[in-house]
Amino acid sequence: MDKPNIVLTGFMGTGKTTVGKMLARQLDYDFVDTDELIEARAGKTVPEIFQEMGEVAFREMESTVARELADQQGVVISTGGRLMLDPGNAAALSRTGRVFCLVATPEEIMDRVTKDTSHERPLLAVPNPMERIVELMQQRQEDYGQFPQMRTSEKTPDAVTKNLVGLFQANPDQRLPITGAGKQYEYIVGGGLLPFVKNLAGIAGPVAIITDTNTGPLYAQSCGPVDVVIEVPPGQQNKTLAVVQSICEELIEKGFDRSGTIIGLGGSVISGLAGFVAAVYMRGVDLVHCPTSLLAMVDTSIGGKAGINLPQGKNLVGAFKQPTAVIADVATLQSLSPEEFSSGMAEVIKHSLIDDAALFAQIEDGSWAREAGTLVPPLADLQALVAQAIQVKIRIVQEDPFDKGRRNVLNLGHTFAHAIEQVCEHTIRHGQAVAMGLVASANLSARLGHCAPELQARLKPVLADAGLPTRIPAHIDLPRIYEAMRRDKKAASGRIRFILLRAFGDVFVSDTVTREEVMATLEDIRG
Amino acid sequence: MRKAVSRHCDSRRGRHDDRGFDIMKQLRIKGASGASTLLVGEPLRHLPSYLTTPPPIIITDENVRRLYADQFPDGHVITIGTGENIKTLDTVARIYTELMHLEADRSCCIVGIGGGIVCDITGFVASTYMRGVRFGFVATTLLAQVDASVGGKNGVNFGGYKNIVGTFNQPDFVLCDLEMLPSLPEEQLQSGFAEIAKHAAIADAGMFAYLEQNTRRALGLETDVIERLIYDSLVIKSTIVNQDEREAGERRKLNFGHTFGHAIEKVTGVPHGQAVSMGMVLAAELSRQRGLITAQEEQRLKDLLVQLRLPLRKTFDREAVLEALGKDKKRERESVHFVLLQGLGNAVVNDIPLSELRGLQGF
Repeated sequence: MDKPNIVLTGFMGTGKTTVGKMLARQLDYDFVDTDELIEARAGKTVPEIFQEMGEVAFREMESTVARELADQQGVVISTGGRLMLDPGNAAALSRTGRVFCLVATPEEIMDRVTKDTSHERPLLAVPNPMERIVELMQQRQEDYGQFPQMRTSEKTPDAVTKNLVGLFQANPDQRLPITGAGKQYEYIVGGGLLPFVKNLAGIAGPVAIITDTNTGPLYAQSCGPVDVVIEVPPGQQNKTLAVVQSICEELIEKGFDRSGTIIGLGGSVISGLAGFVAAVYMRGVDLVHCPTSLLAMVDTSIGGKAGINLPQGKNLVGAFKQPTAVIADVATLQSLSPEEFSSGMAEVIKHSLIDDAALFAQIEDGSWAREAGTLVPPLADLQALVAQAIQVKIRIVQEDPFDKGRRNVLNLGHTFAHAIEQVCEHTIRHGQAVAMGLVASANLSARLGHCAPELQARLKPVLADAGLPTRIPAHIDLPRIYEAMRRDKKAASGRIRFILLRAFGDVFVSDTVTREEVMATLEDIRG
Repeated sequence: MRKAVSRHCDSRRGRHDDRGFDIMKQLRIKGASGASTLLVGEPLRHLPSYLTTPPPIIITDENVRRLYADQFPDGHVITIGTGENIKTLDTVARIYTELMHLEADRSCCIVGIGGGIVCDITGFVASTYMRGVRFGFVATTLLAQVDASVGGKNGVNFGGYKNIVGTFNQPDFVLCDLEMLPSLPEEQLQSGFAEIAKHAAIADAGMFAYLEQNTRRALGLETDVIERLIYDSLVIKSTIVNQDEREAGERRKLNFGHTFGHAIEKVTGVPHGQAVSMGMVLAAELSRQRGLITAQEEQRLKDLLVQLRLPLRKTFDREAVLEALGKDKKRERESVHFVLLQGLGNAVVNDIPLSELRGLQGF
């Protein structure tokens, strides 16, 4: 698609029309305001349509307009306040356009609406419009939340336009080629990519989306029309053989065959599940990963590892399944909770420790703790961060597609982390456990004389800034952690394999660490 | 077509039978999912020499364990039930649990000792446990030796579909123990011979003639004859599979006799080998009708099957068979990919309308 549309949605008075016109001028796009288009066609104003024909008739007109505009390109579309809240309309317009939701405070909206006399606002024809605005905003908060948000309060229309152009233009998608196991595919990272997933991934046949009940309602329809959407309950506890079987049963039921492509839309649990299903369903169908968590973007979506858990441990059953593409839409990171975001940062920091000292320094200088419900950090920074972190993993898995050697280094901190998670019965997040594991690895490396103690001292504040723990919870039984490490699938014939640090960006593998040294480290970093 | 496969006799240990013949043949095949060594005439008791990290974990079924446990090498044995109904994810999950209890790690080696069902389950478990561990087979039935143990396909059934969940993955080795064949029930041997005849018919006129001349000795399970037939079958199957490990093009030829065979098996419940035999007869008739083989060649195939004590036809509900044949998963079809003979020892795949199949005389 040469000129994807730009679709502006949001509450009344957020500046959709004003900003939309400026945006169109700047990008040399056409501009359409859906309300104006409907008024022109009906020969009536919106309030007249509401009054004479009823709201249902108006919503039908909106759907018709949405479908028509979805077939065009190079248009900035300013939508009526509720148009994009209809799933059908949103799906149609998302298919060919990037959607942005403009937001403002109720006070600012009241102010703008009162000043703008060119429009009548039938929904506000009530005794206390301010109360009504707050009420409506609350009602629609969740629906608007599915789209990338752009704050407009205390900003001039010029500034908002500039921000949007920046998001849309100055930040082109990055395409990172990956060769693994004889297959080549692309890792594409950018903002607002989901509507283009089928084009970007080159999917022709039937499509089944496998997602979870949190992610599906937010983003499944952004991917355009598909043949099957299967939502599974979220969480590690659902990464089981039983869930795999139920997914396969549903695929059979829907007549999904070998010519199809499975899209895994979600975090790392979904990457593992969808990957495993794609590896074994009818002995293998095509797979596209659409990671929606930072953890999945910088880690689990590439490398071809797919797996499920057994009661005895994580990822004990699995397969190697290379995707045909990975589409990382960083706009989806905005729906992550701060804890989930932090969890992903643990892997980003891990990658920097393994092979990118410059990235570590960059994280050290920046602020990466994400506040809930805001666009901090900005999409462009997120995209750059994801692209840089994933390149560490790409370099390493390319050297070792089947996990026979070099790839071990990606397990930095993970020998500890998997054991800690298991002993905590998965009540803590993977990223939190990885953060503890990274500190443990640095501690162990210093203890064995491989690296300077300062490494640990620099690492801890970086983890803490990202909202991550640096100590093992006091209540955990340390000998049980050691026992769990011994049972890990990477423990060959009872020897535990550790990744140790020499310096930032310099790691190596060792399986000669003694129990005493490991226990001393665990004691040392216990809370 | 044998060029793609290196074949040579094994002389590492210089074992000979009482007449001084080399009694083991070895074949090495390379597929996209790995390399595999097939050893024909290598008995179960030699299994330890193929294990790099003993002791192995053995997966077998009740029957094989009862008969041959004394020949198993040291190692933990996981026993499953028998029959197609055991090929489920439940069985797989039970094996995972046992492996975890054994603290089996990535360095372990799993050996499936049994027929096609044991091979399918072992292949799937070994391909997925810890994302894949080393595995091999000791094929104990003639059918497994000539068919199921090679090709790299594995899988389990559910929802009424066979092998709906599985992978492609080659075992490190397959031992075909000829000493076990005499203990097989007649029906099991028939299934193996039907596949042997199929391989000869689709790919090797020389093997076909050899089989014609040696049916009595083959049925008597004489070592030199049976070894050559298994070896030739493996060369044919692995050559086709090497060319086309995943796709249905060249590999479709292996379905000769199976399009009708599966439908007849489903409708009448006759053993697999008998159903395939009847399927081959119908496919040969269609090949002759289309002018691809002569009436004489058709007769040679029928005679061979009779000599192998396989049935040419039985009475069955032809409408039910046609219906079963026209149903592919959930889709209704107008035509089917059908394997026809173009002379004995050569096969082609054509799209045949169901109406043409309906008109076959042998029906």
